[in-house]
Amino acid sequence: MNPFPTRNDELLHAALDGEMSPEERIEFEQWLEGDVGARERFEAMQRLTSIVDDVGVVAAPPDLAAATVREISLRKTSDLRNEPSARGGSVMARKAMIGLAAAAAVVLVTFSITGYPPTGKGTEGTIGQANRYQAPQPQMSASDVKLGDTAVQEFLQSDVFDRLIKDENARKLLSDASVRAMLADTSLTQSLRDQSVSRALSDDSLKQLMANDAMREAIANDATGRAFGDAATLRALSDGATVRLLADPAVQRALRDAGVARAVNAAAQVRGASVEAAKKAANNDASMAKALRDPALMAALRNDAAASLLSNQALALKFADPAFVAALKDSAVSAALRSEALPRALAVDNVRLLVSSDAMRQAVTAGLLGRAMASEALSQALQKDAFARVLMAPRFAAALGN
Amino acid sequence: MYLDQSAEDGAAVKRCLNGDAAAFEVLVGRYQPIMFNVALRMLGNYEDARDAAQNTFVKAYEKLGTYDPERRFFSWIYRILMNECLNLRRRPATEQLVDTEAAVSDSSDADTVEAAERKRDVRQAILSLSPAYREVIVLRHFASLSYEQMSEAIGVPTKTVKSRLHTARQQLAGELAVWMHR
Repeated sequence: MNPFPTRNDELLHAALDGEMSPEERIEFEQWLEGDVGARERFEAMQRLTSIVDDVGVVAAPPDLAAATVREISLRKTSDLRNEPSARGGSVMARKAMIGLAAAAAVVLVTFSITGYPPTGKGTEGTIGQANRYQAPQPQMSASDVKLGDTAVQEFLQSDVFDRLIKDENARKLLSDASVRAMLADTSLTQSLRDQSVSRALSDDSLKQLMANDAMREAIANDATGRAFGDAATLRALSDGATVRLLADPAVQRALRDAGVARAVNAAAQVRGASVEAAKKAANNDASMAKALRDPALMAALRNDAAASLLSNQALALKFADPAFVAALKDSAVSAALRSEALPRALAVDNVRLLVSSDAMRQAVTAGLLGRAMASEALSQALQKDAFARVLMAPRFAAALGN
Repeated sequence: MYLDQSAEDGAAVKRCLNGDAAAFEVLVGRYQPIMFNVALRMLGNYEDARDAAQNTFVKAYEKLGTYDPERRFFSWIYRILMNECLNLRRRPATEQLVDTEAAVSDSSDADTVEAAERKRDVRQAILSLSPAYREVIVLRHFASLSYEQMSEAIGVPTKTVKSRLHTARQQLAGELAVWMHR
């Protein structure tokens, strides 16, 4: 392969790219007329440029311009905020909410990792649901917050925090008495002081996550709010595995995905899920992080049917199973997740029940099902009601578990 | 796709520097498609391309005061984009050069299986080129830049652009021989 083009090479590429002068065109045509090999080369290059051009351009993400303008606008706001004249009287309020926003960020990240909020038994008693939004909101003061970590405070004095306190729903939630009570818990403050958590909190991915509309809806979600006061949540936050997960770049990238945010929001509707399962999921940090790194899984999470599936409590429990998570990494399972037929099949109630069954879990774990799911024929069959009924038959389930 | 609107760009930059922030939105709207597509072909990853394009505009806004109006705005912002792409590619090898377009693009719906396979192979072949060669292919085929515009954007003589294009196409021809002879 000659890296230095000859004169004829230059003419050939100039012809392909429409960069010829009239004189060059005459020279080029004379060359082609007198050299059969030259014509063949030119035709081959024409085919090459044709198949390259055929790839075409891709439409930019529809929200890219708006997101860019918003980001720029926030930068400007941030600049203004640093000017004394623009600080006004909001500085004290901002300080007072530092800890509250920190708690919100960490808890939301934990929910994203565990797949659902650990709203276990006893939560209701701890929080006092009935009076949650009806009770007069106590005025917060700086003394409510006892956080000393500089990095955390820097993050919470960022644009994200600024947006949070301007959002009425978020403000209402963050000023909730149960959230304030959580701040008094030493395990949370220990977690916040952990350097890994601080790094995670100051990461751009997390900032983008908090700017995500779907995630903000999750913040304002009533079910999510209940989990804020759960002692088990606090224990999970102080867990080393959670801390390591927060620092994982792959996890942080996953968290900023709108599809994941939607899934988290959907999962927030789940009631009575096991707190212990949440901790178990957090302890599967390496497997979960690897699973989240898989583009196929991310593509599946963007799918509404898959998000709906994730809100299924039984399946959420399976995500706490290391073997199940490991199965997600299986290339055959990944291929199946990428198939167009699978999400449609998952929307069928019978199939969802089947996926939640123990027998199916065992089959997935064994890798056998993954290979079967990669089959286009099975994907098509899954969409047929009759086939779904067969799959639901106890004997078939038993066979799967064999 | 390339928009050579130097005069309009210069005016927008001037308005922006005079405090009219909305003027920058015009530039974002004008160059967003090309920035995203160049990033997509350089990185091979839809989400990374999105990040690179967005970060580029934010950085351009922050550094707008350093822009030399004698140069094309595209050439200036393109250099910022390439730096962003380089930063995003400084990742563990397993995360690099993963073609995720098929998973997010809806264009494959209308394609035959063979056309979809061919496009995938072409995308992979482009990603397999070294950045210098990939760059000229991307700018020529996905941004429709002339040799002169490529020369200014990349910051090399036109002769070098031609040489790189020649070598890049030779390499692509080797990778895609099976499709060229169908």
